[in-house]
Amino acid sequence: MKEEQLISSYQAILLITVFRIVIAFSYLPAVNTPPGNQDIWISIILSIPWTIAISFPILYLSNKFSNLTLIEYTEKILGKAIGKIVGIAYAVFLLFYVITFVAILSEVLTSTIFPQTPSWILILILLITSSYISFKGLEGLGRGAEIFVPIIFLVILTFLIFGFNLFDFNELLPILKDSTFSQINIGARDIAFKFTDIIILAMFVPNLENRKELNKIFIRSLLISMLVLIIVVLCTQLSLGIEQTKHADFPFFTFSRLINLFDFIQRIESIYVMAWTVANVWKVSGYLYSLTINLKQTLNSKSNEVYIIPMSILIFILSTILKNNYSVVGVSQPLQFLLYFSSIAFMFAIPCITLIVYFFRRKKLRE
Amino acid sequence: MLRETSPEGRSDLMKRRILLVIFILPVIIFTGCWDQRELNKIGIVTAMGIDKEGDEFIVTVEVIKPEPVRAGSSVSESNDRVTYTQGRGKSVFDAVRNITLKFDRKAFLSHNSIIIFGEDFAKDGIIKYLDLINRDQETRETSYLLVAEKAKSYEVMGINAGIEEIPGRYIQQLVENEVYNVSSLKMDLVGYLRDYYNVGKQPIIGKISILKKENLNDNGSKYELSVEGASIFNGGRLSGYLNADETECVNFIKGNIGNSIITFNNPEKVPSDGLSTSTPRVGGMPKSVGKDIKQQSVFEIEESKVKRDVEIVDGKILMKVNIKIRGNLAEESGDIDISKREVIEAVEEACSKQLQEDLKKNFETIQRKYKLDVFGFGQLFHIRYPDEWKNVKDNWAQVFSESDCKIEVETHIHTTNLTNTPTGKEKGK
Repeated sequence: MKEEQLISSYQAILLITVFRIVIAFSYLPAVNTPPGNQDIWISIILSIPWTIAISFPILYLSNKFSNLTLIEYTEKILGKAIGKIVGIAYAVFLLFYVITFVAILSEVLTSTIFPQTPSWILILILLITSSYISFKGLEGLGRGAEIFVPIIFLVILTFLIFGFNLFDFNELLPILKDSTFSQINIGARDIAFKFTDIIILAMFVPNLENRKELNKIFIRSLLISMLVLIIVVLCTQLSLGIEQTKHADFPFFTFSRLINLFDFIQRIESIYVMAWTVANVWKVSGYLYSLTINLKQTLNSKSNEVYIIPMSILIFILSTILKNNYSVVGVSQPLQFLLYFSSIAFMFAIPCITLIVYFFRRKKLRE
Repeated sequence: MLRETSPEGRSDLMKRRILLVIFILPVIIFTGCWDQRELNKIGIVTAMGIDKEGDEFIVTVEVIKPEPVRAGSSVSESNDRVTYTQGRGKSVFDAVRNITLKFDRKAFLSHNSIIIFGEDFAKDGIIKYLDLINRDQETRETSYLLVAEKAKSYEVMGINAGIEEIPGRYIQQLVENEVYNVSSLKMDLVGYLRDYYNVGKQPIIGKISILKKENLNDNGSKYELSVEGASIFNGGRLSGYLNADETECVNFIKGNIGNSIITFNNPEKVPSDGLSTSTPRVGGMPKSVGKDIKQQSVFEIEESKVKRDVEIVDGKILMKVNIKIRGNLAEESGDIDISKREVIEAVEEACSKQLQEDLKKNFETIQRKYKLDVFGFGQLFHIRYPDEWKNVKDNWAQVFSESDCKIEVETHIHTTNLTNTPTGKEKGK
């Protein structure tokens, strides 16, 4: 058996942050949530306490059982039989998410730079890369994140600076006049449920070098990713206008097409696609890795590596079918609806039940 | 960690290197397998025109002819750098696709920067048909939009009276010259859509018209193009054209001033020149000539700052514009002594007054004649009075046309360039 793989707090922050910003970086669902006007950035800020509240059950339990993953302690608290069922459910949930991300990646690439390449080729290449990274384990993921994530941040920052002359700040005014607090609140809640990455963090907890820093890792990655999200939303809204941003499938991509500095720095959208692809490879690898760890622990196997290839093949088939039948981003319903409810169930509802059961069985568990 | 140097370690390293090569090779070999676009298969479009005849759409494209540049090629040959082709169809895209029936290369729209609409097409409403340009990944959102005045788009295309070898680039340059002359309007697709979706703002795009070359002994083309003026839209439909002065007014109030110039009459009463010493050998100028001199100055703007605001005064909306311009005295055809500070101040004031009057006049024309808020005051009103905005939002055009405006201009001349006395004046006189 391999020795235990450890990642540092810094690597964990980078990993969770990149998982979170991939969504904003691609199809930016935040601009379509209520209030749907210039006040979305307030919604985003308000979603920080929402995220903390939603993640509280998982965070609390992960702090208590810091040597166990989400699957392991769920099984311990809920008992073997129910625990196994929940474990399988989580596996299905993760599988569903990986399939969606893979399909979205192939959609971004087909509709931006490779219009004629069949999507199965793109998916195949992505999955070969991701399963290789998953074979290398968490350490590989963490070290890679140290190299690639700063590059992604740099790309966003550069685009912000290059696109500055496109901004019309009147688009953001008047603040808080066109939307009520309840609308902003609903928007904040919806945004908070879009980010499921606390589940992945809970799968990584036993592999953290410093497990006591779990809360710090979570809060820091939350703040960084929300900052990036606000930058992305503002860039797109200020340059495209509120309504056009909603029309665009990939608003940040459209924004990057507009950049023209001194007739010299222009048509740099491919850089964005590259940065985005790297980020998405990391996200898919992280989710795939968590999925196999989940299966290993649920099915009591010795190693997670045996699951990587079968799962990749399954993901390949399902996401190709999904992508070939629907435009995942353009025609977002009912997929987004499913994602929303599954994230409520798996991120909040099930951990809540586990937490309640934990309080009842606390004494027994201690023995 | 130290690298292992045992024989097994070395062979392991060798294996890794071979693997690495195997992985890197495909990257070089298979670059863009499916999406390769060879230059000899595509026709690079530099300008595109859209028209409508009955229910049929007509798309005209200007395609670059990829010919090697020959040394010593004559001027007449350079006119065939491009060729034109046209497609007709039931939709815009259908028309674009039908080009392939007549033209050997598939139109490649990525480098297109000019989209011209025929007048009839624009009157019919362009907004629905912009979808293709906005949706397709090949077309650029930064293409400039223009309406061909009293013409079909294909009549405008192909006229080149400039130095640029490609007519599309010639038009692009004309549009980009807006920096020097704000009598024209530069607007791209993304800007048009941004204004279109804003209730408090009406979209406005450029205009292009064909002029006959006159007074010129030029044996080149008989016609030339002009981008003077602008096309004003009511929502998605063309509702009229602004003339040069009105366009200038729109640009000034929107803050697109650039390096434009202002010609104005000199102040009537300025202190006379009493300090300079006259040159004895000069003085041949008869007095009558001095009187005939047109008392005009030209101010060239270098920097500008425009502040706009909306206020409700006694239940009526007041639109306020404050323009600060800074620049140089570029031409002085009068006989005033510009080396004096008081004179310069009087000239500054005259410039401000003239600009203010012109802007107010043209602003009111746009307000009363078109009743369209191309300036974006609705947006400002929304920002300042969000609650009142809800009441006037639906008939903002009417409210706008009945509102008052107040324009203030401050001019600052910071240099008179290379001379301190106008040519029509003698020192000390």
